[in-house]
Amino acid sequence: MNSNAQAGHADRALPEGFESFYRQHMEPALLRLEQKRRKTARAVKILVVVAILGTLPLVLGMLGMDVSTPVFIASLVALFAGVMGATWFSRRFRGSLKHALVKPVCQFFGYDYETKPQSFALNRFVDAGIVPHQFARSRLEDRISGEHNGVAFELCEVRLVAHKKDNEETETMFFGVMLQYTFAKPFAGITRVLPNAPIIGRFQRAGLKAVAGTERVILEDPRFERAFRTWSTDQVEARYLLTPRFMERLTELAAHFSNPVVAAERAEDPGVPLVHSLRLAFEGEHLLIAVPTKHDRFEGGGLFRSLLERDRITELVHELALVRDIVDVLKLEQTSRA
Amino acid sequence: MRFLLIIVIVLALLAAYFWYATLIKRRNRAQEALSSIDVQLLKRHDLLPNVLKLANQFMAHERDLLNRLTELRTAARQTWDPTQADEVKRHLEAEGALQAQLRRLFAVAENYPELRSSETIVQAQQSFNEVEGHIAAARRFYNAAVTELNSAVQIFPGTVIARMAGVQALPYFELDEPAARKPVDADQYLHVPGGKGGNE
Repeated sequence: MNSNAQAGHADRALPEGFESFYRQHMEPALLRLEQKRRKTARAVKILVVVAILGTLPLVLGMLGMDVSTPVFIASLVALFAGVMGATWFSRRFRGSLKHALVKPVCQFFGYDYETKPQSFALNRFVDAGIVPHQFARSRLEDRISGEHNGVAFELCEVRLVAHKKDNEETETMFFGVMLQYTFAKPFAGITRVLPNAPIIGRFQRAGLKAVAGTERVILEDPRFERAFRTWSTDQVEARYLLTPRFMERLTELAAHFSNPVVAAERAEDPGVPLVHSLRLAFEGEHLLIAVPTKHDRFEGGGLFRSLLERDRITELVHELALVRDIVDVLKLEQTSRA
Repeated sequence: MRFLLIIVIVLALLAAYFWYATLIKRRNRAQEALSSIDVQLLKRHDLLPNVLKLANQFMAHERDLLNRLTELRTAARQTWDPTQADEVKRHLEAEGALQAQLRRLFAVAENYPELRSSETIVQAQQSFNEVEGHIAAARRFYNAAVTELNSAVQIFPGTVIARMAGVQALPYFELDEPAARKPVDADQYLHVPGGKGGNE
């Protein structure tokens, strides 16, 4: 879900049967929507120009030039109308695009999709101590649920926002994708794996909820230990879950999510700082994975690109395929970890 | 001068105390890990009677293996003192041997179609794999705890303090699988029967 992962999208083939599904179920709707996209893009461009023109009298006024009151009011109206109009058109198009692109791709994989989810088990992630807990409000978007190889999953794009100290301004505490996999067999304790941050780790973890009774688990794999830090309420269960093979796979998986330690080993660009790397927890009957990201996921691309460009589809299909890849790479379908 | 000497003695006593406390903490940690292994080993022992009962019905030709398994189970269940390194070693070796023979039993069972198709043996094998997964995890926890304990015991002045406190280095719980230790015979994989070898 970062630049490394996206770079790989072009190299990967689309799943079998997708091409005919696309021709039959998606292309007609996308062709219709493409007309709408062109009109919308044109309208947005005009509105942006109106907004820019609206700023001119304001700038002139600030430079000390004489601007009459009606012109000043008209410029304010133009600026407001331009910005609001462009935002409204973009949002409306985004909604239509999700309906025509994201929803059918989810259907192809047999997943359920909700643009504005009513609920998501956010507290589970907070209580497991893998996302910040001191947030004022949360915004949920794009909830996708389904099953792969008998492993049920649910994912949601989440933004957690908090108020800054002493003022009304807000700041984003977490923005990214939260994934929840459900196992047939529950775990007795809680095991959480956070990105390793030797020096500033305490500050980075400050926003995370402390999980009672957990202690540090030092594992044998030096690569894993360089990339992650593990805490658990049960030393044996943590090792049962994090087998040498699982640790190896997790380190590989971390490379897809910009773990800078793994990226440095591979002489790759880390992409995002350590605080923005994959973290996970085993809790109850769930494996919880939180992946902070810089940009919105599952959007299907921007307004100013043709809907018929195959990169849009390829990118989206591979974003969704990653959810299944996690099951396959981590072998989550195995009930025994012997 | 005397003041300096007192400070040195106090510092030395404090250092000795902290080393002693670390030793005891690590020994307790190793004991905790050992008891977690025992919990899992007990599950393995509980599986055995059913497996042996079933195997006796179908595997009459494997009498030696079955007898050996019964003997090993009895040996592994003998009482032992977890604070005595020798007894811990003997206990873990017996369990290791039992595990190796159990693996062998399931491998041999593959040759007996009636046994292989039995629901009980299939379930037993699944449970065995599950238990082995937990034993492997407990073994890793124990070996990690033992590494820490042994380092504290074997590094001077730990050697002296450990002797005074009666803390012993503990043995590692190692796999007793001769097959896993055997060097790989590359020819066996590279030679294609009736054809040319891979590297010819």
